[in-house]
Amino acid sequence: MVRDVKRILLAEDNPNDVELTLVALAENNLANEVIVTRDGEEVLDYLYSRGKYKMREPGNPAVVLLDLKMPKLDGLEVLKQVKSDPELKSVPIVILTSSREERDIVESYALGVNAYIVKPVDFHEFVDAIKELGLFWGIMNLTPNLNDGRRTRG
Amino acid sequence: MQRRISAICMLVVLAAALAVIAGWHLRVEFLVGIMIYYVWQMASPPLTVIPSRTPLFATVAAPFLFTGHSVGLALSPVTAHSLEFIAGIVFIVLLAIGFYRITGSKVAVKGLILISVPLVFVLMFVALVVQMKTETERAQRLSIHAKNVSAQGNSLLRDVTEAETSLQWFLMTRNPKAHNDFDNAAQRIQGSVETLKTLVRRNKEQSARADRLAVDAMQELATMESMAQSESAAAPAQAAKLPVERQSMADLRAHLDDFLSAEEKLDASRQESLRVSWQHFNWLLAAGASADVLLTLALLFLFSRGITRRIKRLEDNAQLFAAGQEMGERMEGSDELAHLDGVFHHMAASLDNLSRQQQAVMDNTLDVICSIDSKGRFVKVNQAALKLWGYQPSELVGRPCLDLVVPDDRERTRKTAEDIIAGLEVRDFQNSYTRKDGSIVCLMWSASWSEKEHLMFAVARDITEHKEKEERIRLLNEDLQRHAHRLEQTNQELESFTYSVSHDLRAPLRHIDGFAELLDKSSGSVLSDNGRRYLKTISESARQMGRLIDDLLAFSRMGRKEMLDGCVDLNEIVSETRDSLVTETEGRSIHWKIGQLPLVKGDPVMLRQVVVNLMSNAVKYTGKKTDADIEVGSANGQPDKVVIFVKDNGVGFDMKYSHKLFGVFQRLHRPDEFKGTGIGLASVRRIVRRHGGDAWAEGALGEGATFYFSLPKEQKG
Repeated sequence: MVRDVKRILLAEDNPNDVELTLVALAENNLANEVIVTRDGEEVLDYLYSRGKYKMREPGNPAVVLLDLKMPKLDGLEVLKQVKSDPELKSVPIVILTSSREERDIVESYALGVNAYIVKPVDFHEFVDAIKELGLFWGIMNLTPNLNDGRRTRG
Repeated sequence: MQRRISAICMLVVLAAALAVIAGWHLRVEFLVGIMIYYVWQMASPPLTVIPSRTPLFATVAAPFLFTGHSVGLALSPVTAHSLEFIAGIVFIVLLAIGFYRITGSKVAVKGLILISVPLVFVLMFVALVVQMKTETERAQRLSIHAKNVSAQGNSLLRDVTEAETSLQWFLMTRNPKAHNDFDNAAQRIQGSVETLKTLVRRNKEQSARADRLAVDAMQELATMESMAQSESAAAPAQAAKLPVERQSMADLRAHLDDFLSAEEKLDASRQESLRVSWQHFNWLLAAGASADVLLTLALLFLFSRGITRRIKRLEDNAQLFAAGQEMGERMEGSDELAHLDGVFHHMAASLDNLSRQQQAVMDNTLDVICSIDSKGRFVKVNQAALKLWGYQPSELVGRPCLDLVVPDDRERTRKTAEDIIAGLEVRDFQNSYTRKDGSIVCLMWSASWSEKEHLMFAVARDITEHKEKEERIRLLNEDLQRHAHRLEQTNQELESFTYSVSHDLRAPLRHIDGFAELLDKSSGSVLSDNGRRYLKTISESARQMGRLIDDLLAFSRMGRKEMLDGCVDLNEIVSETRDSLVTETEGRSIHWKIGQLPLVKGDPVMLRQVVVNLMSNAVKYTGKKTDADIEVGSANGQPDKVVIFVKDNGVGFDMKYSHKLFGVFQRLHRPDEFKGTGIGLASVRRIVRRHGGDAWAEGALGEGATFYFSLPKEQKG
């Protein structure tokens, strides 16, 4: 069966982290379609197909790799909004962050996050982690197909 | 029982005394009675402090009675009688005294005596009357007897005369009838004489006379008989002799006269004696009646003085007592009234004492106890007012209580007072009073209204000091709160600091490592060996810093976190840790020796950290040994603590640096010798100390090390 690589939505404000993540994804052939958003607002814009993402292709991403610390809307706020929207609830969200703080983990799971991954300092480990994420969420995990007809364009 | 015997004795003696007075001369019984009385007095214990002198008096009275009787007889029966009478009275009086003393002079007894004395007199009078009646009857009988004798005497005389006449007639006429008459007369004479003799046989003298008369009469008769028998012509001569015979006749007559007059005299003397008796009786009656009246009056007087007056005094005392006033002096005496008076005085003393004790309680409290009327004025204030407010209680009576209240509190106090009067019970009303010297005192009141007394009863406590203390406590609390607040803030700051650190410090490190790797990948071929080494160093440094950050964060968090208090099974933790170290010990030969570890009290997560740190250290520092021996066990430590050790035969350490072992980031080996951040042992010590124990180590270079830590024993039950 042809593995269908789906879209990965990456939310990360730090350009270095973006670069490293993309490199890691590329090393594992997962970088086919990665949308990079630089802050919380852009994430929502994309998911709601509004703003600069008005003309994007319909359909939800296979997974959202969400950083916590972002300008404008931070990760938890985005998470809250997405998970409380019935249409976006089913989108898997993986928090990818440097913070190992218990309260962040608790809060995230309370809001319904699907996974919480701490970015290791060690690059090798980082690459491994990304690979696993990508494989799992991007390929192995199945998500429901939503009717794109509900999405309005423009 | 004793009293019964004494009563019987008394009665016996009394009866004997009365009998004596009545003239029955029962001296024997009287004596017996006295003896019994005497014996009883000797036998019983003395009933009064002064021994009763009644037996003494009794023994004195008895001989007096005897003497009196004898003396009296010498004088006259009447005098003897009187003396006995007097003695009897005296004796009765003495008996009464004795009785009075013995029975404790009860009021009843006094009353009894009061009644019995006139009663005795009455009995005495009755006895006298009876006696007089007997005497009079006797006198009457004797009188009749005397008359009888007289009649008989006269009849005899008549008969003699008749005999004489008949004889003369016979002698003259020799009429047989005359002789008959003479015989009859002679017979009658004989009879009369016999009768007379019988009548006067009681009296010796009269009997003698009667006998003489009889002789005379017989002689005469004989003479007359002989005269009658001689029937001769000498009769006229005989007849002429008769005047001679007439002499014997005349003698007879004379003797008869004597006899009769003697009898009359006797009769007269008896009548005289009766008259004297009656006189005596009258005298006795009069004397007795007066004595009775006098004695009764005297006794009545004594009784009234002794009883009535004292009852009045008792009544007065009782009234004084009821009014709560001082009573009069104690009553003298030992009867019921004196006893009752004593009881009253005792009650008064008791009540006095009680009231004094209550007053003492009232006056010795430190709180002011007072009563206030419906108009807000002090009615009664206890002594504490002096100490507390500076006023004597007397100064406060009648003053409105609001006077002393500081102006600011007056309205509030007035309102509360009204509420209390309306029925509210107040327990902690506070206000301030101005003391006499002007200073202010803070008071806490509890008060309630009594409808029955129509007064408010209140207690005031000085809380000035208490308030100061409260104020101090409040300030301290404020201080504490500020501190707590600041600490809270600091903690929060620390939290955010930690948060930042954990997030923001890691990212650049990740980048360093990542890009160094990428550089190596992309341009590594161009670099020299050194260059490549430099890149590696850069990466390694970044990673090391990451580890440091993680360790430091963990260390800091562990210090701030709440410690759980549970029962921790170290055996479980040790075996789980050993399993988790399998990856690190792969390929190595390690001999584990795990002993039985006790249960301890503490935070399971933190204690796990301790075990993990120590055991992974052991594993790490035996890394250079081909055969590693690691032992975990418990040692006999102190009585209240358990001691656990982890021993290895690894690289050991120099004891002179042992004090540095547990320092933060302190290491005794270089990073290229053994990896590590130097935080593991610092964490161990910190955790163990937080649990109330400690950590220490022993070791020798090249010979291994033993790390100990102690924890408080698990309290059973």
